[in-house]
Amino acid sequence: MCTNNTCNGKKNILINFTLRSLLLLLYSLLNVSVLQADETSSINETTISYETADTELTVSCFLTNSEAVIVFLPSVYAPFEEQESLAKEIAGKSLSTCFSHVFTDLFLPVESSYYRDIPLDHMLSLLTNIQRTTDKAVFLVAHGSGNKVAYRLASLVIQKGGQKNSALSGIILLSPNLLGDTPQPGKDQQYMSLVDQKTLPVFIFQPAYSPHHWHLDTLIGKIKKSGTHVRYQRLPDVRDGYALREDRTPKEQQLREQAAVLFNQAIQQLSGIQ
Amino acid sequence: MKIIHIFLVVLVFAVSPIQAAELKPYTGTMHASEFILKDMQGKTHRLSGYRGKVVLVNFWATWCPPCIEELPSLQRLLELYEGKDFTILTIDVGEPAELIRPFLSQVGVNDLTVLLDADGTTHKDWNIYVFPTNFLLDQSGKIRYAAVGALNWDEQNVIDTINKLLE
Repeated sequence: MCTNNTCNGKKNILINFTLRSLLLLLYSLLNVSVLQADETSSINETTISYETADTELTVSCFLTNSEAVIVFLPSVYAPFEEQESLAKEIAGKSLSTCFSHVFTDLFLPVESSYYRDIPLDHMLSLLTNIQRTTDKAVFLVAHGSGNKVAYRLASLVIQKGGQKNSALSGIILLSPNLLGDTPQPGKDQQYMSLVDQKTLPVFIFQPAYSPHHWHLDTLIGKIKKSGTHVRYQRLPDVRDGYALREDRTPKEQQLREQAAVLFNQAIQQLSGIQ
Repeated sequence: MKIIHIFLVVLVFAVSPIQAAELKPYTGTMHASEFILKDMQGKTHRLSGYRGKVVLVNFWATWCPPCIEELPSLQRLLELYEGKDFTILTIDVGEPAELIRPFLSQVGVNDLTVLLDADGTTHKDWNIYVFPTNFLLDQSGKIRYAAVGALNWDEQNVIDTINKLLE
């Protein structure tokens, strides 16, 4: 038993409920298809190389339909397999990545002092091959002392007179150590001389829990003074190399999962400069 | 070929020794800058208040593995010199007491004085670029020895050096 008003009310509630259910179903279906698209977004795995008379430099690439590709120089602080796996993980979120095997290709001991033995001309030729093969803008990513190699390569591109459509469009430095020498206690530290020269656009990600965090302003000031375009982002509550640490905190894990978003933001900012 | 590459990388990882730091005579130009910092209990410490003692100033943070590695031997060093004119002032850079206190309990280090350099000012004044960095000051407050990187503070040469400063 119901009055017209209450029945109309019930009918309205029923219609509302049906409409909402349909909308919810449609929303769920759309969401599922978006998720499926993400999970199944095709990754083309390939190896790109540069051969010389006595060696071959290689990168493992995980290519998607993104306009840019980030090339990771290996860090000496984590197993290479883990780093390559992270590169693939990022590609799974639609950003093309490559991982350089430069230490294994050149049989270099996995220590930071051996970055200096990486032949820059050959690395630049490898980056050129990546750019030509993929037809994407190439951004080099490095960590710690590897940043010196990235900086030297960026400088080499400028020396060779190119920026637009060149082998390298910019560099992304993770917690950069650009000091010229090993720091001595109580002495003023000098940055490598290249920091005083204009180079390709630079983006810096700086974890807060790092000695470099406290000197970031000085470094940014120095890079800007050289005429180089530089952008940066401080990453609060995370340690150096957080994405590859075995003992990642929940915050570090969360930020690792956002790596593709962070790199995309950096690429956008660097691309906007050019 | 790739298997050989991987094997070599694994081998290099396996045999790379941990680089040990060394307490060396101080050659820097920087003098021991005065600092006024609070410890985790809120007590204020001035470096100048420790004149007359040999002081080991240690810059560290909980996120720094080599710093953690040397903490137990720092505590043993403090115990060794109990009742003598020697003290250790550790300075944590940029972390709150709420984070440091449970961390120290976890690693079983409870007797060290931990000063809080919340905004990194003291760390900048002392030109710190590497954690840990240690300075050994004589009784007049002059820096006499320093080390970048983790040390084993139980080493006899370290104890001899401190004894010499206490003579």
